[in-house]
Amino acid sequence: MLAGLDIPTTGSIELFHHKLEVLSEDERAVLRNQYVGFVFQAFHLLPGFTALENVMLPLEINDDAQAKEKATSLLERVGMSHRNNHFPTTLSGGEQQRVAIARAFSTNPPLLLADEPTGNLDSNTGAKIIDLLFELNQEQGTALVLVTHDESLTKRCNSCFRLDQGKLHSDMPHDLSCVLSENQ
Amino acid sequence: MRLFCIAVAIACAVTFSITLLGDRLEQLFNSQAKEVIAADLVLQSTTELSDEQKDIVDSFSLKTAETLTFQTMANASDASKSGSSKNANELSNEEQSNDNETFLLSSVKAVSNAYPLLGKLQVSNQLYGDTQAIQGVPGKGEVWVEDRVLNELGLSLNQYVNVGEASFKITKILVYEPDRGNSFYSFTPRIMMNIEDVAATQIVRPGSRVKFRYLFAGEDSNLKNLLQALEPNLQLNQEFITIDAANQTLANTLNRAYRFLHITALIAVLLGAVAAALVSYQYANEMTYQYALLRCLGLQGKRMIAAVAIPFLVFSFIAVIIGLVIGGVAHIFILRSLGDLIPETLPAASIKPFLLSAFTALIVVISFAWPFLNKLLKTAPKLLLNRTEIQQQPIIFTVMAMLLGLSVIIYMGTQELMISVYIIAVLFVFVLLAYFITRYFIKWYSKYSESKSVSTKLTARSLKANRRMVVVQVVAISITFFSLALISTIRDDLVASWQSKVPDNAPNIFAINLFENEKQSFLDKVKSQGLEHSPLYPVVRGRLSAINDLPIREYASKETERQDESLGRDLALTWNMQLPKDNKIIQGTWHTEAQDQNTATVSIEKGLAENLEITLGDKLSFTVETQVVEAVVTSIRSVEWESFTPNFYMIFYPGVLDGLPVSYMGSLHLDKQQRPILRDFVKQFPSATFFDVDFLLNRIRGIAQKISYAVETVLYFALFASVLVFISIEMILRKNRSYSTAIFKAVGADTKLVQKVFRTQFILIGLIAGVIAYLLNLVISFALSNYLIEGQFVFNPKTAVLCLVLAPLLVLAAGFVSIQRTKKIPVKKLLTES
Repeated sequence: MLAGLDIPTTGSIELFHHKLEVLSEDERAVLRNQYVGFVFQAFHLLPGFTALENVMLPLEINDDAQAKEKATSLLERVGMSHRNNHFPTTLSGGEQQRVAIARAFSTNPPLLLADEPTGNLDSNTGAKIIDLLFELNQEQGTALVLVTHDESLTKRCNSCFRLDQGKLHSDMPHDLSCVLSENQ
Repeated sequence: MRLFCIAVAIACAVTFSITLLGDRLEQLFNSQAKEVIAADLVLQSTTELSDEQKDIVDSFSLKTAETLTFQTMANASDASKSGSSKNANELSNEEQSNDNETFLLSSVKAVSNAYPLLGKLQVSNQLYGDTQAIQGVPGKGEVWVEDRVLNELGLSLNQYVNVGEASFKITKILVYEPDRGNSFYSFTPRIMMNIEDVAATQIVRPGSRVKFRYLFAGEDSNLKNLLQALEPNLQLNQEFITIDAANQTLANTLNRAYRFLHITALIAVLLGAVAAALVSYQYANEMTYQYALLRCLGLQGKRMIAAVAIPFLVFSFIAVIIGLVIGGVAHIFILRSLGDLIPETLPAASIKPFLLSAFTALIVVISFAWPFLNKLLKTAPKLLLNRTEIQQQPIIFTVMAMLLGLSVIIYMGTQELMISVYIIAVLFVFVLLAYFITRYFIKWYSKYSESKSVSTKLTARSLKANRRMVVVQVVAISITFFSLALISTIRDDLVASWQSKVPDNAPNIFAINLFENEKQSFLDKVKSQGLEHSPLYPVVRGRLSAINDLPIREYASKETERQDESLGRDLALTWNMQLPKDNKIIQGTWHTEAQDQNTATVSIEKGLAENLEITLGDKLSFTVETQVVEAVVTSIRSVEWESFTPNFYMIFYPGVLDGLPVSYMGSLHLDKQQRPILRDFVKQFPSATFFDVDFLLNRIRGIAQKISYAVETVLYFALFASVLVFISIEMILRKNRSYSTAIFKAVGADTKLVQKVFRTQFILIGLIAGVIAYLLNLVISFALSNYLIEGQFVFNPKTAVLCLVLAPLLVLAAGFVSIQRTKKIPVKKLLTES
């Protein structure tokens, strides 16, 4: 909901001064393209697109003339430059997630949402992916919102919230905590 | 499974409705062809049937009728002549008898009340007036006569004519009798009377030259039994006449038309099969994991086969039943749409369509669907761990199975090996071409898009990403449009060629028996009236009497099985240095001075040559009156009997027939308003005979039109099947498309952009398919027009519009649902899919 993939039935969400619930699906898409990067648990790369093309996708939608160069350098940054022209089906899970991370950072978004980024990976690969995510987060100065079941990961975050039975708890007393209704 | 069921049901429905229509039309056409002998079966004899034979006939429950034909002189009865101004001075010498009466050699046909068993007589109540079909025959004491009888005897309707010792009232003008055959040039005009009046004429006595015809109609099995029962008892002067020996004009037209209908149906069936294959492909892909899981849980061997095959067989069976029902309903609608073009009561269907469609469904299931499902049997449990394995199944088996099925279906449709081979070869080249063109186009378009807008880039990438499916799409769509374009081209050509055989200005009046001294004045008159006409051909009436000095009775005896209907009658022999327009030399060489000036030579018609096993170099003897003419066969010609121009079995080298009694024949066209002119002709050329064949022409035109409608109906099926192919492909791609749409949206693309990408893809797919279809159609039509149809190659703008405009539009329309769906695809589902 933070990314405008869905809108609240009650209440309001404001993202970079835009009230999401009053925007149309397309307007929210534009907003996402400008401000939000995504990393999914299931990677969600387009199977018919090469690694490079997948990373270029948000840049091209943004009409970025430097799409190819930026995508190439990002793939290099995530250690995938040797597999630029490979299709996702020929990549391992860890490699696919690297490409997905490169794609998420490609537009240099101020906000990055990662939904269980290590959920489909073994612990070794998962750890490497998380390292990469945090490194890039540092380098690009992105706000990273991470959803995870891995308690150890929470230690690397600045603030942490726990969603339990539909209720959001703040683990740090000084942070905001809010209660979400059961049906959300 | 539901989708598979629908696809097989539709494939079966298409087959069923087409074969059902085909079967019933075939039976209808057969019965129409049978009209040519006015019955299902005819026994011809020069004597009455023996009592024994009559008993045999009576033992079968068949409809029967009898005709009795003989030639006699007819004259105007005294009762008619009162008030007639004709006197002896106005009559030519030939027509004068001792008491100054006009006599006319006529062919009398006496018919029983049930005649004709098939077809109808056409009569008119006014000289050269409108004709109408009539049920029934002349009543006792009445005759129906051909217009020539009235003209030549100076009689009109309701006057009396003497035949033998009896006088008959002329109540109708006989225009058409179904079993008169294609010899319009029968030399004597017809008088038709009731068979009960024959005795009163006192003409038919033992030894008289008469021809009895016994007509039978009824169940096929009964007819067959009758044929078998009578055959051993047949006398030398008795023979059965079947349709094959009858009117070639109609038979040829029908045969060609029906074959065409079959090939059209074939395309629809193949498209149905493609749809079934696509749906099965989709089904197999969806079910792979389920079966991998079953494998993983320990299912194997027969139980695994049963797990795959049983639901599949059950659904196939249900699909066949549904298909038969849908096909049957569609058939009723087709019949309704054909309206009064076909009679209200079509012959009932035979078992054939049921078996054929079930068999076709079986082939579709086995060769188009099973190869994909067979993969399920080989599903390895490791697929659960690595999804990429699924694409690495060998396709050779699938391709082979489909090719085999394709061949069987094509052979079933064409019933001819060579044509099947041609069709398969064309399909093979087509698929290869479509494959390479599509692959190259995608490659080129990807490069081209690099410097273009984001939507172009994404379109190129989506095409490339789905290139396998795109190739399948292009092949399916292009083959559909190729077929549609080709059908439309051939149909136009074919209908045009049928119509050119019987164009509106086709000769509808034949003039025979013009004498040498009338020749010029006839041509002058025709010219002065501005009528279209054929050249005048010299005609010498003669009978084929010996072949290689062997008398024809021995040469064509029952034992040798050499028979031809032309043997028992006079043939119109002609000579010409020019090969007539519609004739083609099949063997030997046409008359040349160098070859023929020292030998008497003749060119013979192909059918007759085949029936009598006459080959080049054979010596033929003809009896003309009391003289014998001999000639050596130097060429064998094919003749277009369908063309309504004078055609000849024998064309001699000029000079061979010199000194023999000759008359001339020709044809001309009179339209409705010009018909009264015919009376002037009859008056001016009293010895000549004029035949009106307008009714026959209209009959042929009617058939061409019916066939054209039937083909159109089948075309709708092909179109429907092609839409089904689209939908199947869209179903296969639906998941893929939703997924890409969600990802596009997740990374910031708006719906407009996604829709544009989809739209462009559809248009491009339609366009590539259209271009391929159009180009190939162009090549094939060009080849056909050069080698087969012998027409001028004509650029057909209709096919260009069909392929280049309609194909992209249809793909766009078929993709409309997919495009609209992009609006509703929520991105959030990406979060729940893992």
